[in-house]
Amino acid sequence: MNLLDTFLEEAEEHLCAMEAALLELEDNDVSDEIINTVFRAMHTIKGSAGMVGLDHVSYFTHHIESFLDAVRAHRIVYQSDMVSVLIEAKDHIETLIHGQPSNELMAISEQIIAKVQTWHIDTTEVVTTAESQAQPSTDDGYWELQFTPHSDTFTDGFDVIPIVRELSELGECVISSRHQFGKAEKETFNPTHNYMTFTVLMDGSIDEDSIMSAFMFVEDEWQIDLGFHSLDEDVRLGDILVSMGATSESTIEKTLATKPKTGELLAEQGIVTKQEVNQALEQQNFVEAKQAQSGKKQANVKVSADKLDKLLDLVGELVIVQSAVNQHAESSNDLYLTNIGEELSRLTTEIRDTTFGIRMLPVGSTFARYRRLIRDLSQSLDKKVQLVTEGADTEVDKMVLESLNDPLVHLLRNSMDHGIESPEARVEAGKSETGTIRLEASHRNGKVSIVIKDDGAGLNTQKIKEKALKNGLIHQDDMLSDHDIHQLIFAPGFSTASRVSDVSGRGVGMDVVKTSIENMQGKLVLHSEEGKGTSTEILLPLTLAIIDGLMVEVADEIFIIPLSAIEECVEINQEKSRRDDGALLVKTRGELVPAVSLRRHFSIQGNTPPFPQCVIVNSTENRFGIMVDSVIGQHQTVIKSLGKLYHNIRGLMGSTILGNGDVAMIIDTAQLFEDVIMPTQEQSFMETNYADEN
Amino acid sequence: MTVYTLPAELTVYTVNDTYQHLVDTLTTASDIVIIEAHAVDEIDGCGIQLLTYFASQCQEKNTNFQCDNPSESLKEAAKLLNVSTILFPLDEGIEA
Repeated sequence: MNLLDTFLEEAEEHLCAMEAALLELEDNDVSDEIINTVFRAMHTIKGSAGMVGLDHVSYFTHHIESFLDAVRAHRIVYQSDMVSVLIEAKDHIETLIHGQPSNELMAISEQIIAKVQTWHIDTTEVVTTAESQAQPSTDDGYWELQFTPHSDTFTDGFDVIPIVRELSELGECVISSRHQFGKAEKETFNPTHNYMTFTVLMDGSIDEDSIMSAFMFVEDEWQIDLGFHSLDEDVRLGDILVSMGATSESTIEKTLATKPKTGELLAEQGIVTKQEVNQALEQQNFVEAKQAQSGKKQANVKVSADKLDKLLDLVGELVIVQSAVNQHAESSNDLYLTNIGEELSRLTTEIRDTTFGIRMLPVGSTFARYRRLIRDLSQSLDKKVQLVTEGADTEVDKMVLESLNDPLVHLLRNSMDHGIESPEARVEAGKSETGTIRLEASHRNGKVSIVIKDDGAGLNTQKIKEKALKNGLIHQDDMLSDHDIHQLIFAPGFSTASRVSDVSGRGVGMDVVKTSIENMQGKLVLHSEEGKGTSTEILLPLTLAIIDGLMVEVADEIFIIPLSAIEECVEINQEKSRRDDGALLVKTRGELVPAVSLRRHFSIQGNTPPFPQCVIVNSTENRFGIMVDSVIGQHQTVIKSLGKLYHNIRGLMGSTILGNGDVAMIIDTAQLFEDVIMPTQEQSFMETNYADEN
Repeated sequence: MTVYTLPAELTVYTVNDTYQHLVDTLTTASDIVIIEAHAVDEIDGCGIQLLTYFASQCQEKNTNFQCDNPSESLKEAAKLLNVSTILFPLDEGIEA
């Protein structure tokens, strides 16, 4: 990855963090912490853009950063309408970093800069009075206080010790004193004059007013500088020595050019004293300890997603090899080999879990973009909507998370466009003017559950029924519950929207959402109540790479059925199960369940045993059976995608390699249902034979 | 070895006298100057500044500087202004 790529990746992360903070600012009261987050993001982008030669980005971000700096230092009073302009600035930076500089883009930059400068001019005066109340006062940084008492301070009756004592009592701090005993001072040294200057680093949580009150009686005479530093800033020893006035930048640079250890070298060369180096080191340690406390210096390593995918592939291969070793150990009756196999299994499981852990990302990392979506749609649809998110810490495989974006955007757009009513309609219906969309993530029964719930109008059952009748999806005499009718919105091309907007309503959505969720071996569960709202739950496996499966056999062919879809296995009397059109019914627990024979579906030669097994699965709330010759047992399955040649074969979601090197196909239960069961369900089952549970 | 005992008060009101004594001490000192500091009862920033100045003068003249038996007042003041390692180099900064 080259420098520019790294910049782009990091800039995206900072912009994302910035957007989340800005949206939080819009929804909540202003806080220094949020302003600092936005400022830090801008500051970093500006610095990095300059490093990679994106001067047009650097130019723009510099102006926005200056504005933000003034806001965080309370030189400009925060106003809620600033957020929209800052979001506009964030979007513009996104365009700038990905595009070539052009007159058009520069013109937009100038327009946005002009907008923020309006506040700069308007509010500077106001702030002068508010300035004394200014206080970043945050744990995300530290204060640097520099003060030099007046030369006559001691003879004027003031002392530094009580002031330093008061400062040290305010909280954690590091004090450095420097004595300006130059040649001239030594020749004219007057013991009653002050030659000392002080640097004090203090905890960022200390109140600015408290710091300044220590200088209440001397602030007009002494030189006092108080500045706040973010923990993002690096603390280099050389910089501290320069800031202490112990040496100059050019001397540091010359020294650095010769050897790396700044402090020792400067002291060795007599440029600074050992004492000064020690004091500077104390300051450096103070800041670094703060950074460590706030987690800013955690040893994180950035790894490309490709490398993680490769690692997972290798873990998959390892699982297969481990399975082969275990299988060989079992058949050889070699105790030593069996022990090694068990140890290998343990290690493989640990490596597998650790690798999965590395790939897990919190769902909340994508919530910010949905918040933005809702915000923008609220404005364009003229609706009042609040997005409430829950379970942002819920972790999910990064591959799942990436695949989840489009379905979630679609569902949220639907909720906004068709679910939430206009403010007037809501008031008329006795609801609050502001609609609520909840986005909740959680872990449930080893799966990730994402729920999108709105308190809008709910699905219009009658309208869906009419549309379904018109499209021939249902017959007039079909006995369907409201819930069944609601599920019809997942039919391809189905839409009841009377108008097509740029938000939704083209009828190419819900079936695509359903398909993409099922492609991830997930389920989509929809519940709606007219007038009260709609809730859509997406249930997904924690990972897509390795699943637990049930190994089954048909003739000599091995198949894997995802364990998450299986309800039970029952033995069937096949004499009663055959039907001319290939459709089967099995009776289990007093209920007739449609079934599909894998032998028949995949045209496998040979005869079905007299008592085949039927694996009852539950695919997207539809129960059906899969008839196989025998059930072998549970198998940890590494999913390998099928090549292009096999893409047209329905009912398979991939393949896996077994311990003995054989290839087994993994069954796609949802596709089997759609292709085999659904068409036969349209025929009457009344006259068919059925297979009895043995 | 030359020894000088600091007075009980080392403040802006007394530093001129003490300074004169210290200058005299350094003029007559050979290889080491020992400052006996047990008696210091009252000290201010001006007093601390004098001692650090004297320590730097000793260093310039290649004379060893040693501050012995510092009183609690002196130790506390030196610690507050973070000059313990200058005044008590052998003790690596005495704990106040």
